[in-house]
Amino acid sequence: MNTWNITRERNLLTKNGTSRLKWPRTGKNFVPLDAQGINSLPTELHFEILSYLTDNIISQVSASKVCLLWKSIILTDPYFQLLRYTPLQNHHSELISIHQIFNLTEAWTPPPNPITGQPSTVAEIRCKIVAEQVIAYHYVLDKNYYAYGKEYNFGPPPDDEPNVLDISNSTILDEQCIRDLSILPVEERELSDEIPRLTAPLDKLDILTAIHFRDEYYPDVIFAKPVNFLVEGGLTVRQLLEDIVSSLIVAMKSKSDLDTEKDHYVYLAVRTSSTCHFTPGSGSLESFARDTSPKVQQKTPHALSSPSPPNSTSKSSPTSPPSLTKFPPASPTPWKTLIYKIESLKRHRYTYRHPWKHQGLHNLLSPTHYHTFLGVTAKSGLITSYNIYTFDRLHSD
Amino acid sequence: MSQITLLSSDNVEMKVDKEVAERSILIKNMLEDVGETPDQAIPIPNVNEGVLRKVIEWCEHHRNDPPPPADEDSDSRKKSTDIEEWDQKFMQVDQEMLFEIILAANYLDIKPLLDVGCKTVANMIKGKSPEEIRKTFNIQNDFTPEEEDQIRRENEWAEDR
Repeated sequence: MNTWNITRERNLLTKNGTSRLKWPRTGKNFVPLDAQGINSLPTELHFEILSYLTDNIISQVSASKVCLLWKSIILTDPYFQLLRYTPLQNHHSELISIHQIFNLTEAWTPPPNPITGQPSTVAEIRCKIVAEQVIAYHYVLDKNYYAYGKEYNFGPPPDDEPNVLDISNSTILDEQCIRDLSILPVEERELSDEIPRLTAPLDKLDILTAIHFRDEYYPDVIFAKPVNFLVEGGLTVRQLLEDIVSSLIVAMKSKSDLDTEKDHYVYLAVRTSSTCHFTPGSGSLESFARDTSPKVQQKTPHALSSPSPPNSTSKSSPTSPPSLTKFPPASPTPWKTLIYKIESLKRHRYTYRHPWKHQGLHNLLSPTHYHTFLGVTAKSGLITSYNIYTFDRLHSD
Repeated sequence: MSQITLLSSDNVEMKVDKEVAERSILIKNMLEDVGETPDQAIPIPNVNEGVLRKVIEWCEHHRNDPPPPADEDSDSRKKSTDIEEWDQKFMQVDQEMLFEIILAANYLDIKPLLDVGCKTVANMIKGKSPEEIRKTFNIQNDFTPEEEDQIRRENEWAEDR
């Protein structure tokens, strides 16, 4: 059933409080005599219009504060809530979807130019913490502290910071992190013969964070403990963020003189794949092991190639990136095929990009992963590992 | 090319190519049910002359558009508000006409026109504060004082970060 049919066929407003609505909410031919302009539209058309705001959290939050009908549609309509989820690209089922609030840099914003890799608008979640408690959640548009960390140096937000929204009290934070789109909202579930599909193993999501307190950020990006959504599928965004922050604080306190009485900020971004580790000669991406331990990114003297800005990777010709062709013969085979005709078994490693039809750029170079850089580690002149770092600091100081 | 006649709600007849009129799924289904090109004008009781002319203008321009892809699946969820240039100009009308077109497109079941109309409105919403949106569309603020207080508190974050 497509969105159009869904919007037409159901009664949008079944939740409490809708009796106060003064809006027309019967069929499409019903138009009250005194209605005019947008007020003359039936509820289903308000839904249709507002559904075009689902590429943008800030517009949704703003529109939800306009009137009761819009608030009801945007925040509590179960079908509108579904529009805030986007399929996990690397999951076998396109119906397993992640909440839009985590897909800050892809899918819900125009994709970056595949050649230049120039990012489009990005956003970030920021938690303000006082006395070890999250006291505010900010949604920051047009800034990405990981990509543009230099600008603020992970510092406190400037006084005149534009495009920031306090979403602390928004019910959007109380929506599930992961949803199976084959499971329709309750009132239609009985009519559906579809089997819930959230039964297959679901990739963990790695949570990437940075923390700021006093006038410094500390000390680098921290890779927090991944969450297994197969086990914790019902986890809400708010619960997840609170879990992350509390585990971060424990980690920070054990490492340093973190003064928990002071205000500090945690910056969060979530990717479905972040740190992958390859062993030379292993020959297959299947063998990559995800580094799941909480860690602070270390800069070792063994690093042969310093982290390069992600854009420079994307600017390389997709067919023969010079930095990659220098790899010794022992390098794993996945490096060879950078553009691939997408087939069902392999498509999860290749990201389809306009204007290529049926072909995708290997995820290692995917322009949507413009926060990614590749690192090579060597000992005694021999490469010991290839690493992909995502969302790490891109500025050096 | 066979033509049919449409009759607006204010009783104005308009001749239009059948192919153009069939951009409306409502009319298309109606004609298929009848089985032959009707001699009499087809009444469109919910759409007045001005709006019907606009709708026909749109259908004329888009008469050769390919049918929308049947498989809308996941991509349809990522709704883009991009509007092609001709449609943007077409939608440069006053708000009353804009919403009349949206209502007519909905009634006549012309999905691509409805999409363009809804995108146009969505683009007018984007980037505006709730109060600016209310002013733009003349929407009544029907929140209770308590709800208003709540919203105000949420907007006060800027002074207390």
